[in-house]
Amino acid sequence: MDFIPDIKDDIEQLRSFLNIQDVNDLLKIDPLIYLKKFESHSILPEGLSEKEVMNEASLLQNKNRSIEYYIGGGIYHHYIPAMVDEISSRSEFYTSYTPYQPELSQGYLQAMFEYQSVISRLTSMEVSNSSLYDGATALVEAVNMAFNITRKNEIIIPSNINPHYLNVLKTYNISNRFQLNFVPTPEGIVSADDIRTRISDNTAAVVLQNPNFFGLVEDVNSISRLVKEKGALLIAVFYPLSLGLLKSPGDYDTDIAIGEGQSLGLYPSFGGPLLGIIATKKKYMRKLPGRLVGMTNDSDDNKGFVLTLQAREQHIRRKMAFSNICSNQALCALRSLLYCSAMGEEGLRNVALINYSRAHKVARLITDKKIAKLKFNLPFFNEFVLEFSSEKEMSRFRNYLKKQNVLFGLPLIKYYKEYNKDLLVSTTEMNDTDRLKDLIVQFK
Amino acid sequence: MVEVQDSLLYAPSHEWIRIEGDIGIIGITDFAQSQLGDIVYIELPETDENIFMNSAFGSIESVKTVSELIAPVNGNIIETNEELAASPELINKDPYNNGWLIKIKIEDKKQIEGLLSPGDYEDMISGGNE
Amino acid sequence: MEKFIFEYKEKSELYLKKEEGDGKVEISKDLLQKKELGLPNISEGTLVRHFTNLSRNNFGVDNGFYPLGSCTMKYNPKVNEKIAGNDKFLNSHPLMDEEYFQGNLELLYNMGEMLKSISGMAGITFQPAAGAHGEVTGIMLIRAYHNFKKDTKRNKIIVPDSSHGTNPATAAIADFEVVEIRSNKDGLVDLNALKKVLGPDTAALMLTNPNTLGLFEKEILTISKMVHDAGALLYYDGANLNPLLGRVRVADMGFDVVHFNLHKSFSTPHGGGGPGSGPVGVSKDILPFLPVPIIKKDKDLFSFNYDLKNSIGHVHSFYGNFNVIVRAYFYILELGIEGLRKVSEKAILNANYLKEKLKKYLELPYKSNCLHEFVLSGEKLKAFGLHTTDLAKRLIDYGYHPPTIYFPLIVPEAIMIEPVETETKEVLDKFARDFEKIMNEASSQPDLLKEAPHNTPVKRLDDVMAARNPVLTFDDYESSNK
Repeated sequence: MDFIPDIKDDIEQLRSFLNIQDVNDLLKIDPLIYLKKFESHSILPEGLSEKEVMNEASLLQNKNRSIEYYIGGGIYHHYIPAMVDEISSRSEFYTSYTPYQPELSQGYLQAMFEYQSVISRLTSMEVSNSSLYDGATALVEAVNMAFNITRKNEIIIPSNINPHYLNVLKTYNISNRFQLNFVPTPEGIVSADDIRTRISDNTAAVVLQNPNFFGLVEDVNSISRLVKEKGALLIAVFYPLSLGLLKSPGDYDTDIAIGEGQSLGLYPSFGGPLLGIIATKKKYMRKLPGRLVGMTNDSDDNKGFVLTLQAREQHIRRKMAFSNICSNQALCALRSLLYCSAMGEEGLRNVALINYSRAHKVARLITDKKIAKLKFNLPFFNEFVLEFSSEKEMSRFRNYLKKQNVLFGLPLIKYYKEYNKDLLVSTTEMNDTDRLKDLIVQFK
Repeated sequence: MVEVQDSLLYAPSHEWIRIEGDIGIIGITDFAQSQLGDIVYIELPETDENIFMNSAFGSIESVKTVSELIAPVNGNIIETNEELAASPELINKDPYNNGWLIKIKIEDKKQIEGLLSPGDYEDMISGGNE
Repeated sequence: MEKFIFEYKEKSELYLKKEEGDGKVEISKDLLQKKELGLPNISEGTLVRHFTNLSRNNFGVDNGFYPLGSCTMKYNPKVNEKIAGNDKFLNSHPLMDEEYFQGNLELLYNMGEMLKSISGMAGITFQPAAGAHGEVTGIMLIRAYHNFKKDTKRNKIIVPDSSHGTNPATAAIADFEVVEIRSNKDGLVDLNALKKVLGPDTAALMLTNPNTLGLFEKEILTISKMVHDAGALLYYDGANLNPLLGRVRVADMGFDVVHFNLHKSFSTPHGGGGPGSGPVGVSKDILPFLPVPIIKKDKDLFSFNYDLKNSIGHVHSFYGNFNVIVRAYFYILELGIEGLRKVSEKAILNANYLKEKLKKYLELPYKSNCLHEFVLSGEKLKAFGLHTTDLAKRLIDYGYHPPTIYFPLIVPEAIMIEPVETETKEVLDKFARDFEKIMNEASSQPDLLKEAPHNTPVKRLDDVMAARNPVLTFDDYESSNK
């Protein structure tokens, strides 16, 4: 299959119209040299039929083993209403591109405007863009924005921020544009004193993740007050689905809110595609990276939508641009709009509460049976850290559940050497906690 | 036909400056605004900041372009045109009066000598345009 | 315009049953959500209607000819959607133990091998989520390479004036100084201009080849020698790879770092602006710096290797846009080597054919044979009081998505047309005929163009109003109405 529609005659006609024997006649270099190299090195197989491709696909798919998992770490398995898949599969949406021609793209533009509106309301921030790549690069963009707003370069970052995000931020800082000042969090949450001793006149922003990587709820109000007293910006990293239960970033005076939007209607999908959410205050909107959809009038004074404030972007500003982002994750943003719209006010509160309750139920089951204890005895949302008596005990419990087709928790040693007997456990509405209860009861 | 005012001095980057003693008032020329088209936003520095000859002190945006604003001379900003935030179209309508950008205290009056006279500027834009 | 989704007052469906839970929420009240979330209250039936109607106001490749230059809007095979929509792919979590996602690893590994074969590069990372993301990854790799050699004074990156805006923007956000060089009269890199700016402070030259005029840089081997002799590296912007598939390997042109746009060359749907995928390929010298993890194959067992001591680190939360890569992988399997070569052949034939047909009507500033796309200038339209944009809007009335306009910047009133291989000669012929009609209208009834499009849900929109008084949310809209 090659999806080239022409019959041989038509291709011959193209060739003879152009007066060439072979398309290589149109290439200006000696293509034969290249072609030869190509052939002598090619490992590409013969093309396949659709049926053969389906077989190849199922061979690979079957090498992925399905298992129920209690794993989060930034990606969460949530229920997605069927209509989300159905609508986002409409090819008028998914086979279009960036809406450069608004008259042909009012559908997508309105959807992105509605997405911006939903994110703005959910986060209590005034402005949201229409998506970034993922949570990690959204953090990079937020830090960069803070730098561009304040012209200061010190960023204070607690070590309980998602380590996947920190890794990306460190990579992007290869030329030391920022001075990254890390704050240890041995108690699980950020201590205001630790921020107070570090914050200075050179601080552009303080980053705060809520719930943090350990699932714990931060004292966002007092940290925010402190940051504001010192005249720095607050960058909040949030878990969108938790906002059905927890305070929104804008309600504790966040300046730039970023998050991974996967929990709003995207599959875990092996970590991609994801959805980078970024929202800010209106006064900073001209420093916001990425596409923005705005409302305006047409020549008959009817309302319509366009990409706006484009002079911020790389295609106009070129080397003066604050970000190089071009393509974003529009279809993922559409899915999250569909998800939020389907779930609605009550639905989002409900799913957040279910997550909270089930995670607490699981934590109690484990701690009551003294299999492990909670490492941090602090309020959490749907994720918590279990501390076992030893690494061996942790593995024994985890392997026991693996045999029952349950993958339980993420060993934290992957991120923190000293947390070698600790397990980060996430619970969502997709987990069969009743079955887990039985399995725990039987564990010896 | 674009207007070049006689009472002003000009920079090759299309800014004008009106000299009033030690004070300079700076804006962009009628030619510049006509090239940019509808201005939608101006980014200006704060009062009391310093600007330096031939360096950018801000930027000006239309829908499809953005240009840097280049300082014709060194100086310290004593006032910025606050009306532009809400009404950037003033630059299109009245670039030499209500569309002014910043008022500065000129640091070194010698720098003025290097600027273009109205006649020279007019030659420059008519030469560059045709 | 469709009514806003916030304007309905209906009952939402219950997608999850309420659960009592066995305890109350033990979080301090001032940390809890107290406000209304402000989410829509709408039933599923109304919701589906809302979005179905929105989709009808949107134009995709499945709706019609979409010759958007530089974007390679080819047909997106449905079988790839079906494969990517499989549960085993969708529900695999990136942080599971490796034994549970061997299929994903094998796919990525094989895809890496195929991209290496297509490009001649020595190693691949899949983390970049889009072309621009690939660019910044590539430029950071270049910095890491020079840093490793303690060659830290290389602070400049050269780009041609015809480059995509992402090139200078990428170099600038990666803290390099951007040096732009003018193209020569043939629209190609001016070797003398290049020579002048190359030096011990040059980190890299970023090039698209064929360039944004659709022209092959025929002196590419000279260019790469000049760049390498200066101790700098050569970066390949893969936006225009389509016409080289199966013919020219990027590495054989002397490039050290390349990003691919899987959503362009390898047919993954553009999604309304994403998700794309922008894997980066590197030469042997850059291998040690690739982002981690890289995929290791040991007999039939695949694993992630994080142990690369000179790696730049990570550029994505996980491993990139996996589910986009899935589609591109099966696309390559469907085509095979012969299919890819047919793709590049037909893409080149289509572009040259249409170029020859259209150059009668508008000026073709760079006349040589093109590869996958060509650029016309709409300067001639000014005689009728019209601009390129008017022509583009009139094309909408004829059922087309307009080409890219006003880019590249070096062509005044530019119209950049990329007809792609999945369009028939019949489509191109009709497009050429309609183009001719529009050019006749331009002289006889210019208002038809000036007021176009005529049959869309909205007429031309006021960009100035949108930018001067930004209305960016429904709440902005409501308060502006008060």
